[in-house]
Amino acid sequence: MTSINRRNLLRLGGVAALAGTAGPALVACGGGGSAGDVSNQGKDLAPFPTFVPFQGPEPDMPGDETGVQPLYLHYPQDVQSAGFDTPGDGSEVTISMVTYGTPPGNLESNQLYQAFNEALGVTLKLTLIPAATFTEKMSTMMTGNDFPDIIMFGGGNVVPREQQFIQANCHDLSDFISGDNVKDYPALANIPPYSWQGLGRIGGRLYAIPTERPVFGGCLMVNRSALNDIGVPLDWTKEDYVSAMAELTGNKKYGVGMTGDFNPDFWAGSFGAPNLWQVDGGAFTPTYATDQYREAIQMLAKLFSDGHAYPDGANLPATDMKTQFYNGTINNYRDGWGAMGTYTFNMAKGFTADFGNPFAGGKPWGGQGRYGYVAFKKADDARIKMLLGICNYLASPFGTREFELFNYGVEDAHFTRGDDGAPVQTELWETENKTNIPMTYVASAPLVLYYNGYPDEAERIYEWEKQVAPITQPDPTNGLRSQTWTEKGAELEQAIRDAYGDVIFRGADIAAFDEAVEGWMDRGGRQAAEEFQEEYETAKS
Amino acid sequence: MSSSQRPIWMGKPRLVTRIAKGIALFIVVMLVIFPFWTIVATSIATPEEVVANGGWVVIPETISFAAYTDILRGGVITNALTVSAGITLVGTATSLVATIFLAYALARPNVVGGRPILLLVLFTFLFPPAMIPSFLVVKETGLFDSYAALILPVLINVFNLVVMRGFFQGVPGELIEAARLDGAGDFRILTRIILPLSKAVVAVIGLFYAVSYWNSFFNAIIYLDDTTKWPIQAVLRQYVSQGAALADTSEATMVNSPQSVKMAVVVLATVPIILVYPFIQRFFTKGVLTGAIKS
Amino acid sequence: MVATPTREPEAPTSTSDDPAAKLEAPKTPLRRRLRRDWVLLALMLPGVGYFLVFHYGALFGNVIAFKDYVPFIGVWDSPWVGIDNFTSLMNNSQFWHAAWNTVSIAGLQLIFYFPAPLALALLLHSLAGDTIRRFVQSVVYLPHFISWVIVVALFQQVLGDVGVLNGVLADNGLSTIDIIGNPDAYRPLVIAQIIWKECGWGTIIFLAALTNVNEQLYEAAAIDGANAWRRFWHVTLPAIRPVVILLLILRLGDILTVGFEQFFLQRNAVGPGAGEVLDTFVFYTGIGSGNFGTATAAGLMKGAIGLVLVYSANKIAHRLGEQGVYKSR
Repeated sequence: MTSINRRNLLRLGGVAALAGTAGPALVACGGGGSAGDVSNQGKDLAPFPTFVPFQGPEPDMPGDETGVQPLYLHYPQDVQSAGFDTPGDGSEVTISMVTYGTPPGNLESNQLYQAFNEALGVTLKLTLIPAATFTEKMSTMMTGNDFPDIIMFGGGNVVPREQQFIQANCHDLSDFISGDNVKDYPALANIPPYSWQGLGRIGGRLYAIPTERPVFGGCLMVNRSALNDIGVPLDWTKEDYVSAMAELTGNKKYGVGMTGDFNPDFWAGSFGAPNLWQVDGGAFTPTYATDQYREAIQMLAKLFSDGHAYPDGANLPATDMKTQFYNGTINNYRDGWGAMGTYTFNMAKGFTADFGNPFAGGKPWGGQGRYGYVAFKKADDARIKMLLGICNYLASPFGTREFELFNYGVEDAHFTRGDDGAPVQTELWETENKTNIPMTYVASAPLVLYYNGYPDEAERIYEWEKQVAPITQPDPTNGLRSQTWTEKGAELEQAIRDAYGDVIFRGADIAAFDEAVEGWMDRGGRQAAEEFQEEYETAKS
Repeated sequence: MSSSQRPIWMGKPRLVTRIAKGIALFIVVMLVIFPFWTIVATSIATPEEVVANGGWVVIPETISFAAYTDILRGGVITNALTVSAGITLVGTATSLVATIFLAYALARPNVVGGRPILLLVLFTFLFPPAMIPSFLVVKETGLFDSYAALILPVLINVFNLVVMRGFFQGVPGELIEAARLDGAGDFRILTRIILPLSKAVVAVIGLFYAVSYWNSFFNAIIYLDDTTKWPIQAVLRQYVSQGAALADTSEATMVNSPQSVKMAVVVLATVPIILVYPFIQRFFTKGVLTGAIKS
Repeated sequence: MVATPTREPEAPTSTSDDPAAKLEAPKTPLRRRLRRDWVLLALMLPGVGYFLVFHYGALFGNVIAFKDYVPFIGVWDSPWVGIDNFTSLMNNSQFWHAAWNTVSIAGLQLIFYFPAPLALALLLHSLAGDTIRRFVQSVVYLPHFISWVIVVALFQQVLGDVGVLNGVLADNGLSTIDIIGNPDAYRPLVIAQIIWKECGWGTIIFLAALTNVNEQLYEAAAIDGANAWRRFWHVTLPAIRPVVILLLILRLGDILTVGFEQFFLQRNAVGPGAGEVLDTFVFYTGIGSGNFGTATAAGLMKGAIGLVLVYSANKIAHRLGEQGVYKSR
């Protein structure tokens, strides 16, 4: 095989633009064979599951429906069981999911695995698919006739004709979880509405359970200490940013770092550009055609040509750009929301890592509200209920015993309690952990804002969330289907990426970008806009 | 030359030539060694130092084998090493046998069906099978999720086959004729004449196969479901990607798996070949052919 | 073993394709040839069996180039689209651009990268000292085992705008070079990269070929008064000519595959104008969108071109008196 690491490479930031596209990845509708009709038009729409927040440990600061997460400065002291029955019936359950971790080795002797089996009441048979080869492996799996009981999709991975596949081979879950039906599964009812809406429906029905992620999209990771040193305020404007970048450059240090396949979403949003699409009276226009987006691109191009951006950025993989951030060579760069965490705080030596606020008047772009999702192979009702029970159990909220099992392991074996009650991992966790048995990608609790050992940072991020969540704009095509977009979306997006790459890194005139947008419209963008519009009309329910 | 003495017929090279060669070689060696040195050095440096230096360390201040202990802990690597060693040994042996047989048969002039079969084989070189049809064949033949799936579908590499055939054809015809007159059959000609004279090419092709089996990982992921059967490269790549799990959410770029781990992976991948290569090198000494004059 | 019926038509030297010799050959009937060669046929069995099962058995899969292939519907049931996959590729102006880039880079590879291992092998071979030769041989292949991700990062580290080389130049007041990220420098850069990575490994096969050259030929030539250069020209080169030609023809069969990972990694740095090659283009329009049909169509096109090239190159080799990969009748 020639192509080896390509999928892995694609994940290094390049898929960012792709992940913002409508719904779960790419699908084509129609055609022949048994490919069904996945659009939602003219169908009875199954209502999304009712949102019933779970009563867990009291957070220090509450979350809210704009997407702010509940804040826990310290680990909850009152950890209790969620009260769920053992969902399984002792049978074997096969699950396919993505893995970023190393193989777990012999599962018979793996305590974590045995604990999972016992808690869930089944024998788990896991097919772990390395992220780098997810598309290929899933494609081969789909050629056969035997699928796992639970199939995971998403995480930025593309699977050809994903929704048609699900519609043809997976169980319609609407009767089990739509509307109030979901109350049978309290942990699933705890999944916030934006996750379900981002997932959308297939042919009007519900087929899958999402793994929630917060609403935030691309963020600017900044060196707060450096900004404070030159007196840049927390609430800043575009002009503040540009002059800050100039001031921070010098002495082999640079203001900003942009990689060759970076996503300009933070800046675009800060300039007020709509999130990928703008809906105006029902009509969809792409963000690329807006003035605000153009301005953002031009600003970035000027940063680069003025020398205030890392010169070798175009050739640098995203991970190496992070290294330059940690060692102070660059002062900010764009990353996903999930990049903030204890790891970042550990690596940022001698300075405070923080998220930059969007520039005054900007509207930050939101994400899809999930990492991935799972669907179930067609089966009889009893089995589906059991599988739902398993997902429910896996999604036990933060602060419950069950959550601890799937995120920290078995007490005394994989973790001990520190003085503050927070789990401290043992050595066994290095070989048996949630990275190499990633049940959290099947179903998991909605994330909370808790950074073990960094309460101040957590509080600061909470402040940031309170400011940003209300003005975050979601992609209006989340949950909508367009045949053209799913067939051609990746290719079209790549052309745009190439175009602004030319403008920013290679000094092309903004007119080249405009031309690319024209081409984008002609080669499918316009068509997709119309299709989204049709879906949009029906989806407003 | 098997001895380090210059044979009588070779004159002493001029000083200028020797200096020129020396310089050329020095440059070549430096170009290769220096980056490799950096890779090794980075693998034994501490993560902090690596980050502070932008990802590459030439002379580490503190030596830390954390990257290696991180990888070698837990028995997963040892298991994968065993798997890979087994696959490489068995695979190389079977591939060599199959290739030698076929190359030899095709090297004999006027063998029945020789030309059509050669063309058939060449055709597959130009039109290799696609991933999904290959997968379907593996499933149909019942090889899925077995070690054999890592060997049989890639048993013969056309490039290796054609090269070996080319070398076999270079064996002087007189030797074959002589053996034939002595009553040797085709098989004995192979074992008594061709193979002893082809040690170099057999060693080389064996090396190519061994490296290919050792480096394989994509087929393992596609044809195997059981991760305990994964070969070493599949596992090593996961060490590089496991940092990503720490920040998997909404388009976060991969958390940096320490550069030292990435470099350690390279070193671990290369060590076996460094160990094996000297044994292969023996076959590249001159003067293996004895006897007949080549025309 | 009883002497089997001999193959009289065999010329002692099998290197030339002498028509005259052929005319003398009596045509042995098929049945006799089967009996005569049964051992050889038996030897061919495992190999041929392998190709039939795993290659020809899968060849049917190329039909997806003419279909709108959806994996879960299957190869047979996916709808036909005729040559749509091909035309949609060729109608895309980017395709021709990528094709042109590929051809240029392939040409450069042929001129610079193909001979490099040969040159290095000859240099090593001409060394008298055993230890030096052994040592160099043991290290020169190492870059082959370094993945492209790291190779690209290494080159970037050294040649980048803030790389080591520019650092040295800047510190000494010299003007800096702009190689990485510069579309105009891309082609020399990728050639330099592949030579660095693969030259050493490529010497192995030439060393094996050089090993097979008979010592006594050198001796005889030296006795006849030939100096080093003439020995090289008249003994060494002709001896390895068949191998070189063989490798060249095989390379031509694969010529449009200039590499994937190397280009995929650097495409975004220089932009598609300079950086797009066929394999990356097909990736973005094909597999990247889950569209295997397009990727297969492109593969077929590459194969067809390779077929033409191999056929022509082989014919040319015959004209030059070489055997090539396969003989004509």
